[in-house]
Amino acid sequence: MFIGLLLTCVFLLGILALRLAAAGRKHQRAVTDLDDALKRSREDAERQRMRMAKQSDIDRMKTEFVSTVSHELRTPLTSIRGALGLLSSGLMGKMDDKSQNLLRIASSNTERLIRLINDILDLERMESGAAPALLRRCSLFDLARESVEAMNAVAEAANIRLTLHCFAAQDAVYFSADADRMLQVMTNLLSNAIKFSPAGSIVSVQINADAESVYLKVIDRGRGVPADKLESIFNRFQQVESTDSSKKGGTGLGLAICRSIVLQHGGAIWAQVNQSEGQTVAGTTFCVQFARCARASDAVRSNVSLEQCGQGVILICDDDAELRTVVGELLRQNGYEIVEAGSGEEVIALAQEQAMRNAPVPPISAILLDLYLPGLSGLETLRQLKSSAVTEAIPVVVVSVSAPSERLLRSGEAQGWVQKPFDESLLLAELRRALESGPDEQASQRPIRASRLTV
Amino acid sequence: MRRILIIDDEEDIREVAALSLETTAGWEILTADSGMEGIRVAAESSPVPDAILLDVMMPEMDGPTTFQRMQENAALASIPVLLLTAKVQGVDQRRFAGMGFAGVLFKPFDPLTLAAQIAEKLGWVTG
Repeated sequence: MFIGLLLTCVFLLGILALRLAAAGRKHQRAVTDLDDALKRSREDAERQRMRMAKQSDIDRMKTEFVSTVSHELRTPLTSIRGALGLLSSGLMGKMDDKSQNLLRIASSNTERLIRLINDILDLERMESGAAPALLRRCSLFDLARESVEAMNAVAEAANIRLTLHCFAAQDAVYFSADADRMLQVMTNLLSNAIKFSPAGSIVSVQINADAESVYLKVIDRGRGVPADKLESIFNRFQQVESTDSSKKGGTGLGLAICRSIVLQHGGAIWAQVNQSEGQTVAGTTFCVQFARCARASDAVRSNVSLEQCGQGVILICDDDAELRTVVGELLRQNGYEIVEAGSGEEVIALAQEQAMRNAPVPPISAILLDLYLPGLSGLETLRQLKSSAVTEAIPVVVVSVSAPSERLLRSGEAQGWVQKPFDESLLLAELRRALESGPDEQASQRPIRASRLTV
Repeated sequence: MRRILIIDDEEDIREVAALSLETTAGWEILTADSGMEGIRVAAESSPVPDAILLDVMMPEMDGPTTFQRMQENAALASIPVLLLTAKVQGVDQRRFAGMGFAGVLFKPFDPLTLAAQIAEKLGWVTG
């Protein structure tokens, strides 16, 4: 009997051993599969990084080419402008009228050529991103006032009166902008309005705002842009009449540059025919619209995307320094400020420091967290963040090669999820969503929707 | 009467700039076609020039390098230097600001206001 028991035990042990071995192999396969998936994801991310790098290489070469060419062109133009300027001024001696007129023609066209080169380079640099905008909170009214003051002399010389009115409360017209670029837009619009207005008329500048946007209007009473050209005038080298370039001295790029700047700021620009009581009257109105900037003290959450207001400090955690740089640049271009961390421990330390008075770190608005970290794992980092009173309220968006974890999203540990390789606009949207809904909302009340690039 | 030294490798630009300053402001003009030549002319000038217009892009020794050499020469280090550059856009201006230049002038310059621009940058009340 004892032997029977022994044999049964051995038999059972054998079965157990076989089962364990089978489970072990299955486990091994699962681990291998996960490993492969991880490797593929990493390769995809690497390919996307290389694609982005190559495109920016091409852009940089194009900008360098345009920059080099315009620099080379300016050298001979210096001598030409100098010589013609001195001659046509009369300082070198009086000349007969015909010769003087020829010199005037040569001189003024030299000026036009110089402006053209500047505009071309300006446009190219803006459109290739070589000249990133420095965004800060600006008052549309203050900027308008500055540009009107700057253009007053030109307006007076053309016998045009400039007026400025703000139809909204002065503290309601703030938006996120690069002040110098905005002034460039307004100066361009005013310059056009003055050029195309008859002497003795008025050019009006109006500022307005509603719950979501701020508006700028420049209204002239000139011959007006024909309705069928209202869109095309924003294209390069478009003039309404072919003689405009020479008569009005324009480069044909002014409105293209305005549009480029406005689009860079996420705004809209358009032109409309002036109407009075349903009738078309003389002149054109150029309109510019931007998203309004919510104030930090606003109790009511507005629909305005926070990302445009430069009020968010985002902590980016990823052990891949290059990725931190790429994402950091993307966020900066969208008005955020950046703090970087390369490990879970750093994230915890920075997040806790920021809550202290006289903190060396500004208050953090959200955290972008990679899960695969050296040392303290992403998951463990997340857990520690959410279990500390000081840091639990900071929204966290997980950025990882792993697919979104419903469990983490439902439990409220993660407020958003972006899977690598990711689309830039998806990342921005997910970040915005996490910032706007805030950590106090129950995660389970939101539909689970994580963003990833479908390949 | 002010004495200005113009250093630029382009002969036509030297001529036009000189003519502009002589005609509009009555200043006395010295010229040089390279950094090395410019340093020599400045050192041998008595009295030393009141200001130097220095081209940025020159073969052999560029503007900023010429400026650095001048700083090493006690007699020349105190002469205000204005850079002349055709690169209107870009980050170059920020680079120059930290180096100790009195200012930057852009090409192509307006020949009728060049003297006034120089005077304004250097805080000269009268020519």
